[in-house]
Amino acid sequence: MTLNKLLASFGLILALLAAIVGEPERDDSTLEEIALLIQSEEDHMTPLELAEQLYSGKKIRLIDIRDSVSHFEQHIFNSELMSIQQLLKNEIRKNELTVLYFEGGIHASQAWMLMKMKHYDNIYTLLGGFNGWKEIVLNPTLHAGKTEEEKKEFERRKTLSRFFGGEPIDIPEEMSKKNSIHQHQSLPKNNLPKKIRKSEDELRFQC
Amino acid sequence: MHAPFYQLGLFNNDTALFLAVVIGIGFGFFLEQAGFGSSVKLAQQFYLRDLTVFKVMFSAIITAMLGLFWLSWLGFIDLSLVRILPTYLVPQLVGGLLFGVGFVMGGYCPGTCCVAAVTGKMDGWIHLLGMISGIIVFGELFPLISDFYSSTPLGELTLQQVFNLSHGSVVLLIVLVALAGYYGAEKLEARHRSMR
Repeated sequence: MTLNKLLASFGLILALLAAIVGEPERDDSTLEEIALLIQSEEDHMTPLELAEQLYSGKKIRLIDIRDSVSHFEQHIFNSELMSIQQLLKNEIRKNELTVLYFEGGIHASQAWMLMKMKHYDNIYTLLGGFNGWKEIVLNPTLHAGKTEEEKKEFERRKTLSRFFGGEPIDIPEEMSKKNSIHQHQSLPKNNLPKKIRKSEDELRFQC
Repeated sequence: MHAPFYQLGLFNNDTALFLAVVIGIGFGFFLEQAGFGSSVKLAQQFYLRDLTVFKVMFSAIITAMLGLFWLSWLGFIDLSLVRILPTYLVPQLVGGLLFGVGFVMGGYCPGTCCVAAVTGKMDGWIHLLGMISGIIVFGELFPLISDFYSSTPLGELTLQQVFNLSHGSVVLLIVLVALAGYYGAEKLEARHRSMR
């Protein structure tokens, strides 16, 4: 048998085995993997995580999937405006660390799901969306009567907030007391205004 | 998964470009060794006298196809990360026709004209010059033809989607086509040799 025939036979055997095997992946566990990621909350980044990584200079591709009006009104520094249709057309590289955000969390999660089905491995949503970003990163609020540890944490948040063009809110003790008395006196209990600052845990619960 | 290396971030753009040069030199070397630095040999294919180009190219396709299939099955490569060029049916048909006309007229394809040029063949240099001019003209005219360029988009189309078959069945089908092609090519070449 000549070398050519030997190679042809080898190729044919591999091809026959391929036809028997069917698919080049041994198991199609995409859906299960996605379910696990959601369950273990590895599908998103919190606003603080994102802010700290961007602040430390980590290269992250930020995709704003809101409409152009909202984008041009205010967006996270260096984020790109992109529709979900554009996203699906491979505008981003697979495995490129990418974070998607919308106003809240739901729309970005839908886009994330589609991208995961297309095997984009390094993609996340922003927990709480742009609203969460504004609340946690751009305008962190320190209420009066906080502990030293919380004040120290607020100082760190202030740096991040200013870095991203935000405005930290430090409510002086007197104003806080006044507000508290005013609220207590004038509003019935079930009409109390919502807390100005939600914790990230609360955001997580909402999304 | 261990590959594709670039997509998995094993090296950066600079390393990727350096590797592209190394792979390009290797590719050129083997093209030259296969005799593809000669327009006479390449043109023989269109007269069905010497089908080396067909055999070499089809062998490369089969080697890559079987390699990718089994490396993926063994878990060494993630095929979902391998970029598939999207299909734009009509513009690609027109492009293929233009490419074919250029190949028949000049006797070289883009890769082989570079091989011919660096091995000192004047027709290779002229072909290379034509190719570069074509690239410049295309770039300059692009705004005028951009609508046509992106018309009839079919996405990342694969044969298994078109025929609704498994990857493995498509692999077998292509290998069978190639083997039949090799057999036919050998027969044609033998007939030509006996006629001389």
